[in-house]
This record gives sequence, C-alpha cells and structure tokens, in this order.
Amino acid sequence: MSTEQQRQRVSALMDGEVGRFEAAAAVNDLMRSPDLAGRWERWHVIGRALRHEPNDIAARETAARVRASIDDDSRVPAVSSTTRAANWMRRPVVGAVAAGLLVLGLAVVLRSPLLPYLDTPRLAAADTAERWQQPDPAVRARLDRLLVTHQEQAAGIGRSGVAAYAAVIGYERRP
Amino acid sequence: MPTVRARVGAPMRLWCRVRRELRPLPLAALASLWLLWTASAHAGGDPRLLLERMNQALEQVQFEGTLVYLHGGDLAALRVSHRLNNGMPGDSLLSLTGPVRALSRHAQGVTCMLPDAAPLTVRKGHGHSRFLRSVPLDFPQLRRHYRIESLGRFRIAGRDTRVVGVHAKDDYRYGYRFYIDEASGLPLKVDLLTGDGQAIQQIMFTDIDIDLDAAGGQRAFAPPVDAPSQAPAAMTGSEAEAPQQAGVVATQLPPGFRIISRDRLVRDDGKDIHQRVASDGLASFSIYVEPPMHGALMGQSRLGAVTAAGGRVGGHQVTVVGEVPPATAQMVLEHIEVADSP
Repeated sequence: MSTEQQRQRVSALMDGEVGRFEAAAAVNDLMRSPDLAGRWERWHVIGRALRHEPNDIAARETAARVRASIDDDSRVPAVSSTTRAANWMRRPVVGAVAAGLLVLGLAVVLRSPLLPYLDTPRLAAADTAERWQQPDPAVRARLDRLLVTHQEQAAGIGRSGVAAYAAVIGYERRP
Repeated sequence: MPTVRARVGAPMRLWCRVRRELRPLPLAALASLWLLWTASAHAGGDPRLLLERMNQALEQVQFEGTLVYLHGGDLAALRVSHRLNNGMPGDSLLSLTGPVRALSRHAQGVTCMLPDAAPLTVRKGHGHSRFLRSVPLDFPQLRRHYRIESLGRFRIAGRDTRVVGVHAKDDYRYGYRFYIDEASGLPLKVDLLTGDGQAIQQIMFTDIDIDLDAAGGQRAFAPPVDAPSQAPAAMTGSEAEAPQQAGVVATQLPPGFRIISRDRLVRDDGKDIHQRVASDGLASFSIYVEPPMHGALMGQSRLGAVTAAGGRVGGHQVTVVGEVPPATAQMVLEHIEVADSP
C-alpha cells in the first residue's frame, strides 16, 4: 500500500510540480505500486476527458496489470480475469477501495456530457496523429513492446540509457 | 696571448657545458609533446576518443535534467534521470508535455507507462544486453559505412561541448551529430541526420545536473585502440553462417549490418517470439518472428525516427523494428525466410 508521501509525490508528478530529484522517485513509486498506478490511471482518464482528449477505456486496467507484473517474476504475465478477480479478493481492502474509486471515476467520465469525446468517431478522427499512426491500440501496444525490447537488447553508442528511450516517451499524439 | 686564449676558451667551455646540460632535452621535449598531444586528444581533439568516452559516460555518469525531443514539427520536453545503485544503472524518464508518459529502467528490466495503454514491462533476460553496453567501438568497421569528423565546439545547456559528426556513407542508415560535454563526456545533444545532412530528429538537454564525483567513467576511461574491438559474446557472425540453428534466416542484410544476437522471448499467451538483433556498430534493428496474433503490424509504421515494418512470411508474423530508414526495414522484411518451426 502506498504511503501518503508517495501519493502526494505522484499527485505532484501528475501536475508537473515535482521538485528537483523527486521525479525519479515518483516514477519508481508509480511503477512499483498497483495502488498508485490505479490512482494515476483514474486521474489520467478524468484529466483527458476534461481536456476533451480521446480515451481508450478498453486498453486500460493499469493497476491489475502492474500488480500482475510485480507478482510474476518469471516472465511478462498474462493475467486471466479469474486470476485477477482472485487477487482482488485476497486483498479486500485494497481491492474494495481501488475498485470503488475506479468505478466512481469511470462513472463520472462515462455519465458526463464528455461522453461524446469517448465515442468511436472521435477516436477515428484522431487516428492519423496516434502513436505509430495506428488506430488499433493493440497494434500500438505491440509495437511499443517490440521497440522497448529492442532498445533494451541493442543499446549502442550514444543510444544507451535515456537517449535510447527518448523517442518512446517523447513522442506524443498531436492535439 | 693567455688573455686571448682565455677569452676564446671561456665561451667554448660555456658552450660545452650547455650542450652537456641540454643533452636530455630532446627526450624530455618529445615526452612533453606526447603528453600534450594525448591530453588535448582526451580533452576533445580526437573524435574517436570523444565517441569512446561518450559511450562510457552514458552508463557511468550520474545526471538529472530536462531534455527536449524534436521530430518533424513536434516538440516534447522530458525530465530524465540516470542513477547508479551498487553499480547498476537506473533511468527514469517522465514527459512534461502532453499526456503523462513515464519509463523506468531498473535492475529487473524496463517498465513503461503510456497513455491509452496498459503498463508495459520488459524484463531483462539472461541474454546480451549488458554485454552490448559500453563495449569498445569498432572504428575500422564504423569507418566503412560512416565518415567521422570533429566539427568544433558548441555550447549546450550552458556547457561547453565538442561536436562530432558521424555521417552515413549510404542511404541504408542515418547519420549522427553528437554534442559531447567536455567535462563529463555526456552527449548533451544528439541529431539524427539524413543522407543530405538534414536533422530529422534532435534530442537536447536544456538543463542538466551532473554528478561528477560519482562518475566512475572518468576514472575508468581507457582510450580505444584502432583495431577491431574484442567481439562481445553476442557477436555470433552473420545469419548466413548458422542458418540451420536459426530457423529464421535473413537472406540479405543491408551492407555493414550483421546479426549480433539471437534470443527467444515468451509472449503473454505462452508462444515463442524469436528475436534477431542486427547492427552496423551504430545503428541497429530487431527482427521478430512469431505466430500470428491480434495486434500484428501489416505494412509500415513510424514513431519519430523509428521504423517498423511487418508482414506474414510462411505463416509467421515478422516485424522489423529499429532506428533505420523505412527502405532499410522494408528490405530486411522482404529478405526473411522462416522454417516451419523457427
């Protein structure tokens, strides 16, 4: 479970207000805590909806995937829905709070007048500006994984470390 | 007469004494000149030394800063950090513009959070990635396909840098322009160049804090020798040399590229992915071969200067991904042969 300090740091990260030398710690907290990842996702969904940016709800489930990623050390996991449900049940407090917040967050978004911005036509209109110019999030996710795998295997002169990943994180969809 | 002899003899004795005293001077002068040359080369004159030093500094120097990423007309700002924990490097990147995107590189691998996507984790295998980092550069190999030159000095993020151009000699690869910090060896700006010298992508620090006290690279730096480097364990030769073991055969690679590693990954659904990494010593791409699945790329796609090309070969999905021109990725894709069980 995340501490209040971690939550505040990730909140500051979301708002772009982290202090010097705190960003790395905040990102690490985010990567390692399903609870924080869930909060990050909910804030993100709401923020994008408020900014009238398209959301792809089907590609989410961040918290569960972060948990699965942490739980399974042997390989990148494929978590079935039953396993995921069982994990939630094993952690009733975390599960109840996070699930409640997730439902609340999605309910706020899906029942609001912002709903049209989540519709398929809106997504289709933004297709050309998507990462990899691919309208299908499954293709984008697949290519991101292949690229990160490649960068991790093939870092070379001037291309290792942050430089190798600048394109992965730096590329953003045009508004 | 004695007076005259004394007048003539005194200068002669003085000259002889001077010659005796100065006899070791040529050796000392040569040594001084050599020291001066090596010092100046280390400090910035020799592009080979600069590149080698940069190669090591990227992994061994701790820093935190803000960089901008420019591709085409799009500009993004990132907060980046590189730290060493018990000798193991850890990186974090956080986007400061647009949707929040973050990446953390740690001892176990890389975790990435992107908008509209589940978190992505790539675990560090037992393979070759650690060996491929900071290996000595193979300059004879690089010079076959790149023209390397010093381009003088420039100031980036308020710091003095030396500029090194690495220009591609053909259209199979991009060229580079590195702005290398004189104090730390870090590249503060990297331009990716087309064949006619146009920058298609630029990465530049706007501010950076460098922890030189922890810069092991400063002490560990060793000048390169102008000979082929000791091949790392992953350098297993061309694909054509071992087609039977491979199952995946690149019948033709772009000039200068060779397969440097082979790996087998496991997909979420338990199916195998066969990966081949090819490099010319600077640019690189991966060839992935796997059973067809949802989310496979058919055709070409780009992310900044990264190209991906995908299609079906003999019932298998083949995807080529790397920071190479689209024509190069397409050429590779069209020259892949896959056995029934790759």
